[in-house]
Amino acid sequence: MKSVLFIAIFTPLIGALFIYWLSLFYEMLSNVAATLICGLTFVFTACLYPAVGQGRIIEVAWQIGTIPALFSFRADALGIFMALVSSLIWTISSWYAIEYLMNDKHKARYQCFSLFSLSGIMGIVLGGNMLTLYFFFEIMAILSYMLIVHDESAFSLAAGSKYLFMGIIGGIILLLSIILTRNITGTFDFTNGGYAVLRSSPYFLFLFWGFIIGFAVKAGIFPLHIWRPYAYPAAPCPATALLSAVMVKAGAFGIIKTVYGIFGAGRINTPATGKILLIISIITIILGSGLAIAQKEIKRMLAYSSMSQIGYVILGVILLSGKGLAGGIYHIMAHALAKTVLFLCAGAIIYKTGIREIKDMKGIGQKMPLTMLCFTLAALSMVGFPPFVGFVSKWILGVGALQAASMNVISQTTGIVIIGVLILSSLLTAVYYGPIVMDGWFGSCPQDPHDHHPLPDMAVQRCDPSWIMIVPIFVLVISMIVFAIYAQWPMRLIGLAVNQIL
Amino acid sequence: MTPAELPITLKESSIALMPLVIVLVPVIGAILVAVCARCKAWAAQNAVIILTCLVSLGLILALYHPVVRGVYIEGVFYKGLDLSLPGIMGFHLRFGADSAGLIFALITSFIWTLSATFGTSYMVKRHAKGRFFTFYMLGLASCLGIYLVRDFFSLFIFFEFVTITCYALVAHDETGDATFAGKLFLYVSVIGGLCMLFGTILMYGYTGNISLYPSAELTRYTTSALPGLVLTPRIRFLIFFLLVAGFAIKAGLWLVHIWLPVAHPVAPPPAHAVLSGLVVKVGIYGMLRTIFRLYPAMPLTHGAQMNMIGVGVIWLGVLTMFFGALPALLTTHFKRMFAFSTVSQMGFIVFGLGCCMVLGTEGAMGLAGSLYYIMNHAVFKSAFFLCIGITCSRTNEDYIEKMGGMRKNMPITALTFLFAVLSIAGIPFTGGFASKTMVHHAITEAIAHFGHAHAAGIAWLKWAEIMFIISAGMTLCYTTRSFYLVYMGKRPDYLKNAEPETNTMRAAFIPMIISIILIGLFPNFLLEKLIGPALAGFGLQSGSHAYKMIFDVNTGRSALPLLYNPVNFSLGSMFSHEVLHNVSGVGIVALSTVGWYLIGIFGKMFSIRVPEYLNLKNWYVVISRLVVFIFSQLCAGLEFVLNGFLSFLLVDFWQAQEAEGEQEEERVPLLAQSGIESL
Repeated sequence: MKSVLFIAIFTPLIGALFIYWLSLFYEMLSNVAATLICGLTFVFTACLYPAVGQGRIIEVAWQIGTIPALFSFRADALGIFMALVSSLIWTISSWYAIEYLMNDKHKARYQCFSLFSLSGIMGIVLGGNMLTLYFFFEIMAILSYMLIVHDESAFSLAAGSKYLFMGIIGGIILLLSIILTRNITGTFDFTNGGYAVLRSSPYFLFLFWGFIIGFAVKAGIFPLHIWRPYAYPAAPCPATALLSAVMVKAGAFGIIKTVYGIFGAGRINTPATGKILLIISIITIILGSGLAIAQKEIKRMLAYSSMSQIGYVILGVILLSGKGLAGGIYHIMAHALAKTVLFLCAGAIIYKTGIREIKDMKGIGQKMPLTMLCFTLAALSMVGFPPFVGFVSKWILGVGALQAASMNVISQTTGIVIIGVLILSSLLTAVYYGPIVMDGWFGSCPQDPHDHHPLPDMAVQRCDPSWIMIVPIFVLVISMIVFAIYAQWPMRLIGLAVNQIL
Repeated sequence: MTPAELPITLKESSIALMPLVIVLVPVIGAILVAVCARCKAWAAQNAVIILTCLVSLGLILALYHPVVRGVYIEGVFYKGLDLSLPGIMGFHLRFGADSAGLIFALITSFIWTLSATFGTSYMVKRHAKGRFFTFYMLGLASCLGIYLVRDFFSLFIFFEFVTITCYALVAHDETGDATFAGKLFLYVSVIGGLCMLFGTILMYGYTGNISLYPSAELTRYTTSALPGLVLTPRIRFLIFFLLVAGFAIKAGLWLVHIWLPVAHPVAPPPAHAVLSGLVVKVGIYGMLRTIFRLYPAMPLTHGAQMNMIGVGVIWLGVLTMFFGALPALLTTHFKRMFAFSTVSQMGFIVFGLGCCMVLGTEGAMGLAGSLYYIMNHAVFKSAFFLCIGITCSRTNEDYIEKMGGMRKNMPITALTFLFAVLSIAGIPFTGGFASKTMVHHAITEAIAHFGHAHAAGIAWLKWAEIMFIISAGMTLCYTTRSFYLVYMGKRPDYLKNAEPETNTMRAAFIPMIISIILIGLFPNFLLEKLIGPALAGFGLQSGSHAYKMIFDVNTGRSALPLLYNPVNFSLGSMFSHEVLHNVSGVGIVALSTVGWYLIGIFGKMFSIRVPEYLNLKNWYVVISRLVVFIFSQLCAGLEFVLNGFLSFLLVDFWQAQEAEGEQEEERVPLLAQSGIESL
């Protein structure tokens, strides 16, 4: 099992180098090869599932004599869950990129750095201590820069530098916090329930916010979300999907580790730490929705929508209750599935028609029915309609808020207000997805009520993308429905994760 | 009824799977319809539609014995169904059936069958009928799902399905009006659904029991799924308010009815009939469950305080019936008039529920009246809309004053319309008589009970009764007026050649006429077979006078003298004191109608055109757009400031260090793209 863990983490790293080597001879193959490597990563991660699903924790550490390990890997339920989601999304995105980047002359570079980023993610979620996590976090943060500046336009270079600068600043703060924590606790390891010594140290507040800021930059929560509206539209759509669905979740994963693995849930329920983070997550949810309404370009809108959704994850984590945490972790998956579908559909529309503005998308459903169908279902999931994943996470988060209230983490009124925020944000989500979906299907239409025209499919030329793009989107749509109806499958792993963490 | 007396529900039997099967039948039908439409096999499509509806109707009828009467299996008496699918959607789905749910399911599948029959003929030459009937069948599945589940969570899921499927029906015509109406419907329904989700989460958190059925667990208010949360009266009212708000939006009650007159008229008539006749009942059903779940019937001890929440519900009904009927009187747009009529009729139903709440365990009359009203309303309202749909489509006119004499072109339509008018007015020997009389009985009973004690708030009840009569008069006024203007009178020349209704449509109309007449002639039949047994599930006191009159639990007979004495029928009993009292109620309503006619003709009320600025809908639309706009622009402004500040601090500041001046051009897009652009 330990070797499988190694293989799972290092497959994308070696695969990235292999892609580079392969592209020297057969450039056309690089996309396909990258998809296969991502798929392999998924398979190897899935091989770990039987052991981890029974509650075992697989740990690997290089220990030289008595010197404590600097690097170690550890596959627990949460890590495996994140790794499965990440590698699934990565496989889908690379598959989709086969056609999307067909005529791109830098596709090998894109796939190479995409695989590097995947190895970064795998290292983060399967990392055994803070230093490993930090190391892979930086790999992901810096190498994913290449995905954002892929177009090499002035706009994407500017967006990329914004992303990079903020990532580096966040990384420095994170490193400082890690070193300081090492000085206080004497170890780089995470521990369940956190270190009591940190609470009494004079650097408690500094450390907490250092960790949170370091991860929040990547998670893009208020007020450190400002790179989002630049990086998302700048990157090619498959990369945007990865960025939104998985990479920002690495930041959320870091916050879970910070809250539960370094400080401990009981110790951060103070006004200066947990309460402020709770308020920040609520602001993130509401502000993200409000900003998404104001957008005119679809990818910027989706960027702000992602911001709102990551707020849900942080909210679930900081509720400090079992259900809340489970809801937050479930929402990581829920948002990853739905938002990837949305970005890939938006990408398909941009790829086939070049439309980026929302107001131009009227009647797009009659031209690209399959794409729009997927977009609609994913949008319904975002709003929280059953039977899609978004509804399940909303339900669990709502119950989690009440559970937190019953555990006296928050007051009852606050619990009800938090549910109100979830409901309000769902409504706002409907406000910004509604026009796209409704105008998309029923938009361009004759104004005469008595003119019952024949089925418009004769009149409008259909231009759905080929199966290479559609099939991966459909895979996600189906899993979006299956993982909602049979929510007990992911919930089994999540429940295990929550038990291990709390 | 103590828990020990409660009959055992069927769980481990193939019959328990029936609700799931009933929901799945129309889904399969929808898939087949889509396949047929793909192959352009229209005849096969029509056959599939009607067959699917009939199969689900038959299956629901087959549930009558296990659910209403109860069955013996291996010597054990079972009643009601229960099918739990654990783990679905992070919680569970619980299918099941009880008598009250079965009433709704039965009437839904019955009317849906007739409307679908009508639709197969109506939609022949219309566009995208494959899509229309696919969603029509899915709509049936989701409506039936609502009535065949056991808890609020499952109800919510089907509630949202209803929203999605009905949206496709409303926006079907793809005209500007239809698109707007669809949007309005969807947004309003989403708000309703979210209110309901809010209430459901709170109910689950605070009581741990989200069953729809009032049960023994109900009395243990303080138990909670999550220890530490106590269900205070304030929280209980919050849950009640949220759930009722969610359902009221679907039912189109006062203040949230704005979407109904916009969305219903633009839907094609077959959809319109089920939207107005059946889908609004989803909201009523939810309200019924919410009321008895959160405020179970309490025994009326002497000198007890009047249940002011019940009075509130009565007045919600009163305002709905009045402010639904008033615009119906003032408009001449045929479809919109009857869409407002739907709003008004929902008021009558809610009125009965409110009376039941006020009367506590003795409120059998209010509940039975409401249930009866629901069944009647489904029949006559869908009859109205099918008639209106075919008349408007054949004449290409929307306004009643432009039509006339249409009975010569379409006699069966006119006849159906006439019977629907008689029924909605509550004329004896038609269906509506029994329900209106029973609801009226309920309010007089409430007044009689509290009137002696001079309880606080008795004036509210007395005024409610007066408003009831006034609104009933308005109903009769606009229905008869529209009947006269459209079907009687002189026929304009250009309408001489309007096509008659087809035979398929007649096949849909005639069962409606027959059921209106049959219910009218045997008003106690439904009380004995369906409504009476359903009362048992609501914790009402089966020994009370009203309950015994409606349905005697021991004999299974109804003794309520509506038209005659049902126990010992004799011609003389048709002129007994009680029956004459009932009929004289109709006379008072008729007087009120005459009053409204006088106001309308001599007071020139019929010629008033309501200015647009008085239209509540416009205010809602403008205000909500304004709120969303201001909110989003505030967010954008905040983002702009934040972005400028942090971008400088975190990015530009460092960039400026390494390259001064040369990078100017590259930074231009950064600034140009900042939030101000979206303003």
